[in-house]
Amino acid sequence: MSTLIKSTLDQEHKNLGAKLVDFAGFSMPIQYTSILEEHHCVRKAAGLFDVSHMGIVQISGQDAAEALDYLCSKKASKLEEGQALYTLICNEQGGCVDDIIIYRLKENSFKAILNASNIDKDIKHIKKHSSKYAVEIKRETESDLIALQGPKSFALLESLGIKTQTWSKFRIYKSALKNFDLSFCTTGYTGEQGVEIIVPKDQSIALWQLLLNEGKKFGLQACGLGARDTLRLEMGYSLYGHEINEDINPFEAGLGWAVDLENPSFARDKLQEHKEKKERKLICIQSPNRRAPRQQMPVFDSNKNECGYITSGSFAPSLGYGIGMALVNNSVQEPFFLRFAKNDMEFKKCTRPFYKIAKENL
Amino acid sequence: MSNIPEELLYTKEHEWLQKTEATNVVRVGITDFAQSSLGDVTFVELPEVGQSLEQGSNFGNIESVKAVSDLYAPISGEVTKINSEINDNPEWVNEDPYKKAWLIELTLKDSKELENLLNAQAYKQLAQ
Repeated sequence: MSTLIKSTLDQEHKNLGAKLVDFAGFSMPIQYTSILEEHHCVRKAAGLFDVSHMGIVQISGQDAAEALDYLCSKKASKLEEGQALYTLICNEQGGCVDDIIIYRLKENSFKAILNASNIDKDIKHIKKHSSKYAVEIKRETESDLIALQGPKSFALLESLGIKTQTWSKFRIYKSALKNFDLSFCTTGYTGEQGVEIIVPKDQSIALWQLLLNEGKKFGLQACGLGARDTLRLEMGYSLYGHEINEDINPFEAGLGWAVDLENPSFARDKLQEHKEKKERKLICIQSPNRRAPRQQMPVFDSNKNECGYITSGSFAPSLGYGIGMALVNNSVQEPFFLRFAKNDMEFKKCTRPFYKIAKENL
Repeated sequence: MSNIPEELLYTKEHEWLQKTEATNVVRVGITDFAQSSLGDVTFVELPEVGQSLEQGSNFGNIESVKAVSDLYAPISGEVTKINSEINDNPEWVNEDPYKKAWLIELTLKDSKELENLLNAQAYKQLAQ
C-alpha cells in the first residue's frame, strides 16, 4: 500500500481528519466528517474537493484540432477559444475508452481532463491514434485540480475579487487572484454552480487554505469523493467503470448526445452501427424507500428473468430514497425488480437527472 | 478510539448484546466501531417479531451510503421486539449505537451460548 500516490494536499486532508482511501492508485479523502453532511453542504452552500488524482493532458501543435476530432465522439475543432466540450474517446469497436472534458485554450492548444483510473491507458490510446498528425501530447504533471462546487461558489470567488458575472458554463477563464496562476473551468461533477481550478502544484496548499478560510462565512466545507459520488449520481452523470467502459458504447450508455456522427472519428462507422442497433440501454430507477440499489446487483423483469445489472446505486441524500442506474436489455420494459435476501422489490423507472437543481442556484 | 462499554458482550462481527431486566431477554445492536466503519447509516432491515434465529445466523442488514453489511445473531432465540423507530431515524445508529439504536430483542434459549461471545477487553483487540 506504500505505493499509493499522495496528493499535494495530503497533509491538509490529514489535518482535517479525512478518511483516506485508495482511489485508482491515489490516496484520496473519501470523507472528512460525513458523506451526508458534505453532500448537503454542496447542495446548500459550497464544497471544496481535491480532485488532483484526475489527469491533465496538453494537446498542442498544428494538427491538434484535427487529431482530436479523429479521436473523439464530438468535434473539438468546433470549439471557440476558451470553450469546453464533454466527449468520449472510443476504441475500434465503438466502446468507451474514457469520457473526458476538452478545453480549447488557443487555436492549436487544448487541455483534456481524464479519469484517474485511465490516465496511462488514455495517453497511450491518444498517442496511437494521433501518430499521423503534427501534434504533441504531454501530461501536465505540475498542476493540481481543485473543485469548488455549490450555489455559494461564485459568491465566494467574488468576495476574493474574481469577476464571475460574465462567466458562462463549460468555459475556461484566466483570472487574477493574488499571486496565483489559476485557470477557472466552469465545469463540475455535482450539477451545481461551480468551478474546477487548475493550480500549479506549488500553489495548491495556499489556494486550498485560502478558499477554506474565506469560504467559512459562506458555509463551505472540505468534501470527499464519497459526496462527489452521491452528488454525481443524483445528476445521473456517468462514471467510468460503472456506466461506461470499453465494452459499453455511448448509445447504450445514454450518451448519444455526446456523439456527433458527422465528426470523422476513426470509430465513426462502428458508432453509426451502434446507433442503429442498440442491444442494451441505460435506465434510471428509484427505490420505494431508503433501501438502495448497489453496483453489480442483477435486475429482473416482470417474468423474473435477469435482464441487466446495476451500474451505480446509492441512497440519494437530497431525495431521501435509493436511486440507481442500470444497463438492461434494450427490449425490456417496466416493471423492474431487484432481489434482496427476503424479497424482490419493484423499482420504478425515472428520468435523468434524479435531482433537479433550482434555477436560481445555477 | 471506539467506545466499548464494559458491561456488554460482543461478537466478532461487531454486534453487541446486553442483558435486559426481563428474564432471559437480551438486546442486540451494532458497535460504535461498526457504525464508524460503515459511515452514515441510511437503512436497516430487521427480522419480524416471532422469527427464530440461530446463533451466528444472518438476521438482517444495515446499509450506509457506501456499503451494505449483514447482521448476525449473537445467540439463538426468538425475536420478541424490534426497534421500529430505526428506519425513520437511521442516523441514530451513528449517533447512539448502544442505546437509541438498539435493533432487536431476543429470548435467550441457551445461556451457554454466551460463552461464545467476547467481553469488552477481548473485543477491544478486534476493534482497532
